[in-house]
Amino acid sequence: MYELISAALRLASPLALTALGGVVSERSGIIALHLEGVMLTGAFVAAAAAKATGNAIIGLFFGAIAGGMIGLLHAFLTQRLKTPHMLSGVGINLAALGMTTFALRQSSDLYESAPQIAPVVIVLLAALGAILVSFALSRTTVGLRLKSCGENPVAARSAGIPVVRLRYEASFFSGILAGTGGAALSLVGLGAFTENMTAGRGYIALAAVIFGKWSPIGAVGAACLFGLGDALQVTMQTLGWATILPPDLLTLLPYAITLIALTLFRGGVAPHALGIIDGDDS
Amino acid sequence: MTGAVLKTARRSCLSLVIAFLLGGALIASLQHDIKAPFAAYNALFTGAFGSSSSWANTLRQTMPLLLTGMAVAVALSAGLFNIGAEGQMAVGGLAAAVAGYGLKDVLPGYCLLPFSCMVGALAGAVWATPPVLLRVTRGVHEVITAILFNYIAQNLTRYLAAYPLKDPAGQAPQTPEVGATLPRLWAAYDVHAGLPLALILVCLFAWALRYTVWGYETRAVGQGKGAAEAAGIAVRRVQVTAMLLSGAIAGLAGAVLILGEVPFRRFPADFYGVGYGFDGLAVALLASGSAWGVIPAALLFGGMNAGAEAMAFSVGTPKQIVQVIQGILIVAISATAGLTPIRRNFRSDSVDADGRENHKADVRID
Repeated sequence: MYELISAALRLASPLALTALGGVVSERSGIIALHLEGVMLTGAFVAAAAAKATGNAIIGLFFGAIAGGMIGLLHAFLTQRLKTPHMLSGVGINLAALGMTTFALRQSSDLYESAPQIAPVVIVLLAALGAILVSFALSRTTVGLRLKSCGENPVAARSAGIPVVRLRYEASFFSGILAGTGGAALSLVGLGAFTENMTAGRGYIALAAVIFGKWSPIGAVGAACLFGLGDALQVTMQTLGWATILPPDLLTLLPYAITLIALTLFRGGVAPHALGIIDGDDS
Repeated sequence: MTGAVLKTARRSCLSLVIAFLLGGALIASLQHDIKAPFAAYNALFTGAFGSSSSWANTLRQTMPLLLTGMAVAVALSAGLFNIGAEGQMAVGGLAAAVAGYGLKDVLPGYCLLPFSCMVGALAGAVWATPPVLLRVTRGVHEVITAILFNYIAQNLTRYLAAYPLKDPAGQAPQTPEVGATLPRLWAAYDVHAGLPLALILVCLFAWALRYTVWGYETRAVGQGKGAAEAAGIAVRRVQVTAMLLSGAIAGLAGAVLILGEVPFRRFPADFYGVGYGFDGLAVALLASGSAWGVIPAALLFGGMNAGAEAMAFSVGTPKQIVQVIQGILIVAISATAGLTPIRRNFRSDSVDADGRENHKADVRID
């Protein structure tokens, strides 16, 4: 039981960090479908930097910054070039998958293990992030302004709030959180980057945002639930349940839990201006 | 009309140039060689269109892309983004393989072949049903549910092909060989009857979208749900129909691949991930939602896929660079789209908690 809970926390914390990033981005009005690509880039850059410097903390830092950069790119594409958010997200994810795999093939030493980070660090970071984001969104000026950009940008702009700049900042910060989540994947436990190592966790994190009704605490709670599903699957495999239920069916579990959760408990309301492209009318 | 087509074509070409330039910069920086992109692109082009066998290879890769590209385009024309084509294709392929083997002693070959294709298409449509139903009834965005269904399809088909449906005679995790296969067009090359079939279907789709009531309603919903609803069109019915059709075409793509291509003729456990479903997204976007545009776009991507293998073999540039170029291409096309059908499809796309559509296009934000 103790092992199950610790495995759940370990598996949930990267998801929780990413889901927090998703909340920040979506509350500002930007659909966070790019989280998968952010996580993957964060995981890759963190492993590469940790390997190069021999220091896992530096790896984590660079992974977070790389995630922030992808966040800025998504904001640039959606706010400046007015790309539909979903398409920008799909494009970023596809390019991130191709680019990390391409770079992995070019530098074979990344297959060896890099310095690692203790899982407890990531769990603490996720808890800290949850408190920070939750406090910032509900109690600070910048948080309230950010939410106004996602709810009613027209009103926000007439109140003198620089909507687009705030969205850039939100997307950068969101990328830092999700990049940290991705870095946690490659730096904890395995200590190496593998091809497509996120395997859809960015999408699951986005599902956690929706399931958590766009609130930071709700999203983290949902991430913990999905982490528990993941942990159940891992524990069942190590306990030898594989003879009863084959591994392929067990790995299906987290996705199925996410789907059932989305089907049964949908009740939140998305930020009103989520994904609306500035100046599009008719 | 011609002006609009020219504009679309020009935008697609511009996006292609951007994507190849950025891809070239990436090759040069990662291989530390300024000449590397030229060698890589040369190998890519020669591998795609350099000889009759590379042309055959390109056409072999184009066939499934015509179908998956059309599948995504059908959904797109009704304002839905079918990112689940890959999963629907895997499920369709498995169903066709099972039907093609299970009924081979019951039905004669000329009946078995169309029947297996139909079973594959049906399975693809079934797999597309939950995401679109969740969209129209519960308001969960179809992109998220379809992605989750992809993962489930991947694990489920792998399990089924490796355990309950495995060929007991062999060691490899795959289903037994099917009883009837699609005939080749030329004896020397692996280009089979799936290619003309796919072309006919694309033409049929282009015609139906333009000249039938179904096509009119679908386009109306795709261009603006609010206006379509006000005109008395049953928006939800149109969207469900479009998604089921999209899933059926993706399932058919899987069936035709399994029943036609030489390395298959049975469903291997690792079939999910052949990538034609995801490439179909890029093909449909490159075609900008136009039905006819699917043909050149599929040919281009087929050529890129065929050339990528040759490029990896002859100059050692990893073939994933093609994936990078495709990702950049999607972003470049949608960023330069302006107010074209693609852009309209994604504009007022959110749904509130009760599943009612929010027609936010009415809100102007600047």
